[in-house]
Amino acid sequence: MKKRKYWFAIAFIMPALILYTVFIIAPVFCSTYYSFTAWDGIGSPRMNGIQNYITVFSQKDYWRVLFNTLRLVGASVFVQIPIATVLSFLLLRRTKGYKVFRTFYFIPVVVAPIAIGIMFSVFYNGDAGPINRILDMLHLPFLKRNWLSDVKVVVNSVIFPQIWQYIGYSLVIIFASMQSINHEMLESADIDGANSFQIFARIVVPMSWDAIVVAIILVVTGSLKSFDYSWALTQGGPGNASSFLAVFMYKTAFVQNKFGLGSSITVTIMIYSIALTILMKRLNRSG
Amino acid sequence: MGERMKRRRGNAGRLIKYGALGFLALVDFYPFFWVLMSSFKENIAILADPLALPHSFDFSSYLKAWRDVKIGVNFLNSVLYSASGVILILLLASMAAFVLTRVWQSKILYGYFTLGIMIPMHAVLIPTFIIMKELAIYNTRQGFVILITAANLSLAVFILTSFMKSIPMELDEAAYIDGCGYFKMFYKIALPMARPGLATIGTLALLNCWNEYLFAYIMLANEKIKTITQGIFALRGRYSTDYATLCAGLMIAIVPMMVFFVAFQEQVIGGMTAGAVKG
Repeated sequence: MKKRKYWFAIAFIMPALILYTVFIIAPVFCSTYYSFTAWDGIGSPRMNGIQNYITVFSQKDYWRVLFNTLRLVGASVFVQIPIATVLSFLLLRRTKGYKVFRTFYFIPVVVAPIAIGIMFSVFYNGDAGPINRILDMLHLPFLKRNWLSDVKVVVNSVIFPQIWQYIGYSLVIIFASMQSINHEMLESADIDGANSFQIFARIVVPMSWDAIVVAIILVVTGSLKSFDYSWALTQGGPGNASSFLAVFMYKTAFVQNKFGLGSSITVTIMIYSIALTILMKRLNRSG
Repeated sequence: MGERMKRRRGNAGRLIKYGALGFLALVDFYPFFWVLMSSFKENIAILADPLALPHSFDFSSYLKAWRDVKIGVNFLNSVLYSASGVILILLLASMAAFVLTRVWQSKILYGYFTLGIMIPMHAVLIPTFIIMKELAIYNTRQGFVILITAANLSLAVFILTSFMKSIPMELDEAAYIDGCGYFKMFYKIALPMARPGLATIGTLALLNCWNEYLFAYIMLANEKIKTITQGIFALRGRYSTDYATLCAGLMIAIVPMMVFFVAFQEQVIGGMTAGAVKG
């Protein structure tokens, strides 16, 4: 019997195990190995030590792209999360039809990021796009820009749709946690004469802090993966003015055929991602 | 004084509250509404006044996108990939989760599977590209399905394991006494009992498969097998000034998931937030 049990276990777990090992785990080790080689993807990789990392870190564009990515992280953490937190709170307090609101907020979340990117490429357009037209209507024509070609604003133009799309996502995560706060506690705070702001800052935010941190981790790791928006809107341009790390990695590996160099960028992304996750979890424990 | 003042403040507060909530709802919804309306307009009408509503509901842009630009082919491909991807993910992950919770409770193996949750997918992009070529499944339908399946397995195993853990062990023992083999236990007990978990994974996997772009972009080069996300991206390149067709193509890509979301809201939100624990 015992023998049959193990045969069954092996046969049943094997398909998942093989796929997962071959396409997810092995590639992580391959990436790390390639990152120490010079390789164009055709011949065989040739070891060249840490040369790729020296090249990566001495490229001005890498720092620019890293800075763009940090800007995206910053916007997500300091714009998206606060908006989502405040609106969750508004939704929490005796709001009629909160499910209807939640539905509206979540609609963008289920749409393909590449579709969102293409949509905004139309919105930003000077001829057919509604954005400049709406600014005209509001008598704010001085705010009009060439959203996707002006180097000064292009990063923000690419960041905005991502914030916009995922406010609802953060909101739903935070809202679910706020809903589980004991109602009597909020009621008694009301009776004690606490105002909404005090209730928000002293009770609701601290009590849903864990969920807020989860939402923060998600937007941060999501930012490090951001590819589709930038690719759909500007292909990272002009130059690398609106590239993020993933776009830069893609261009290096698949456009310039520098697989070794691309892999070393990949490794830096993995390190940032893991480091930030650990950092956030610390934040969680102390908070 | 108190009461009246308080009530007035309350009314103002409510106005601000519903105003803010309504404004965000509008901001979230209007862009899609604009694309929908534009898809019914003629291109000249969009250029003349982007904000105007269409005079009539003209579906010719949809026909053009579906047939002439062949978004239809992309659409059907994505239906095929998503359906097979979801089925494979559900099947393989529930088999693995069954073994991990009922047959061989290996902590090491469980840990190994959940490790993948932390790995950002594009970090494996370059090696998977090479591996797919080596295995001669680069630029094939089956290769792409295998890849999106692998990419979703880790989280699926993680979530399903926690569901299957909560199925009482006594059921297994009873089944065992009745002469049930593991295989029968799997599909007679574990699968039906884990149905909410399967629904969660299924919705999450469906969204991931349908919305996937980067893997498809790199792995599928043949026009006949490209996905809907590739289709609309190509549309933007070729028809960058034909906004009506572009909007129709966008709606074809967007509407299925939106309808799915509205129909299965609780599952979708549940699935997406179950994905949240992956942090």
